Parts: sequence; structure tokens; C-alpha cells
Amino acid sequence: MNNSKAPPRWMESLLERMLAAQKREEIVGDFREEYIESILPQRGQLRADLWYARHALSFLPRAMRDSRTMGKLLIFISGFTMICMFWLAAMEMKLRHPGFGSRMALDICIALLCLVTAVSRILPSPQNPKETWVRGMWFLVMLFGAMTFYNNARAPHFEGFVFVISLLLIAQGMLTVLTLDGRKSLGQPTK
Amino acid sequence: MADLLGTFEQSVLLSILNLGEGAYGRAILNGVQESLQRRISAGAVYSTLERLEASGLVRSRLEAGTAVRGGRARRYYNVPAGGRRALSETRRALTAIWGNVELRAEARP
Repeated sequence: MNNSKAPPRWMESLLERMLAAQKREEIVGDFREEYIESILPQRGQLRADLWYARHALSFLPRAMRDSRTMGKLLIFISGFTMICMFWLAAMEMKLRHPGFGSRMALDICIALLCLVTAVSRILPSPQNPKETWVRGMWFLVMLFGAMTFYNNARAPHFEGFVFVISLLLIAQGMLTVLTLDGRKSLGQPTK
Repeated sequence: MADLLGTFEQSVLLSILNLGEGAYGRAILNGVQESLQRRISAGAVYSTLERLEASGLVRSRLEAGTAVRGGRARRYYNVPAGGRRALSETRRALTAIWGNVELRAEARP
């Protein structure tokens, strides 16, 4: 076999890394076969490589969702954000600036959400029916993080702590959405 | 009534049935693209196959690979009785829902 006709090695390696071990061989084989027999002769090297990259990247969301590293990172960030939010709430209560009550309540709400997220990742429940709710809540938190980031960037006094918290909230929201189980229910035949 | 199969799931199952003995990943992907008349990402098809298999609506077997595949095995799929039943039920349910309704394009002024 002429190896110059094969897909770029680094692309194949990337695809292999994104696939579960039990499915790796057959999917990479299917891609290689399609690339050599059909795509390369029809489209030429560059467009064939782009075709390969496009299809390989379509496995990325699934790979990220299944990745244990992402789950661990989410637990770590959730724990850290939770501590920060409790700290902020404690500071609000101590300093008692005008409007501290509503800010403190918000801090505690976010801290509890972080706690729920971390616990749900530590004790995963595959049949959890509340995944949609978690997704929705984290979308709101991400939005809140983005707004905080924007307001802080425009404020006359830039707050480093608020900057870090806003980034953490955005990162945490993205990780939560990415690591949620996106499987839809399948129709089962009636017995 | 049991949950119905989605359009994409139906398309994957029907593609396997149409391909018969030659139903493997790449051929199924091409079949689905042809039936839905749009570009489909490989990831979507393989994920759906995995879910269908986990639900018992699809079965698969591995066969030895060829030189062009770099010796990598090829997985062939087939639709067992459960999958065929799910397809039939989905079709029956959709037919019942539609009944005798006919949609006509509205006349343009």
C-alpha cells in the first residue's frame, strides 16, 4: 500500500485519541478507507484533508463529554468557586455595604449551585432526569459570569477577584454543559 | 405508547436494512446522507449506532480488515427483530397521527 495516499498521521492520531478504545479500530479504518478510495481521488489532497479533519472533529463534543479529565476539572473548579462565593458572602456580611443582603443571597445561591454540581459529578446518576435543569441553570450562571466580566472590565476600579470569579463561572458553565449526558431517549419496542 | 424513533434514528435503521449484508459505518453514513439529502457528520452516525446497539435495536459483528484499512477490523451492523418492531411502530404511529390530512400549498395572491 502506498502510504503517501493515507490520511495525515497526526490527524489519525487525533481521531484515535478522541475515540473509545473498543470503537477506535473500526472507525479509524472506515475513515482511512473512505479517504483513500473515495475522497482523495475525487477532491485532491487539501480538500481530502479538510474532509478528514471535519469528520474527525465531529467526535470532539462526545470525547469531551466522556472525558474523565473534564469531569475532574469541573469538580475542582466547582469546589474552588464555591469556596470563593462563601468567602464573598462572609465578606458582604462583615462589611455590610448598602445592598449587601441581595448580593449575599446571590453569592450563597451560586455557592450552593457549585456544591450541587460538584456532588452530582462525584456521585453520577446515569438516569438523572434533572440534567436539563442543570444545563439551564448553568447557562444562566454563564450569562451572569459574562455580564460580571463585562461590567468589571468597564468599571473605574478593576477588581481582580471579581475578574477571576467571572472567568471561573464561565469556565464552569461550559464544562458542565460539555460533560452532561446529551443522550436522547430511544424508542423501545412495546412488548 | 412507547417513545417513537427520531427521524435520524429511523434513517440509520432503514439505511442498515437497505444495505443488507454490506452495512458498515461508512456505507451507513453515505446511505443516511443520501436519504436525508444533507451532509451528516460521521460522529452523529457512529454515536447513533452506539446508542441503538446499547438499546438492542441494532446488532453488530466484527470482521477482519483489509490492506486499505491498514488491517483494521470492520464492524457490520444488522437490525434484529426488536429494531424492526420499533420501526414498524414508529411508522404506524406516524400514519395514525397524520390520518387523512393532506397539506396543500396555499395559492399565492
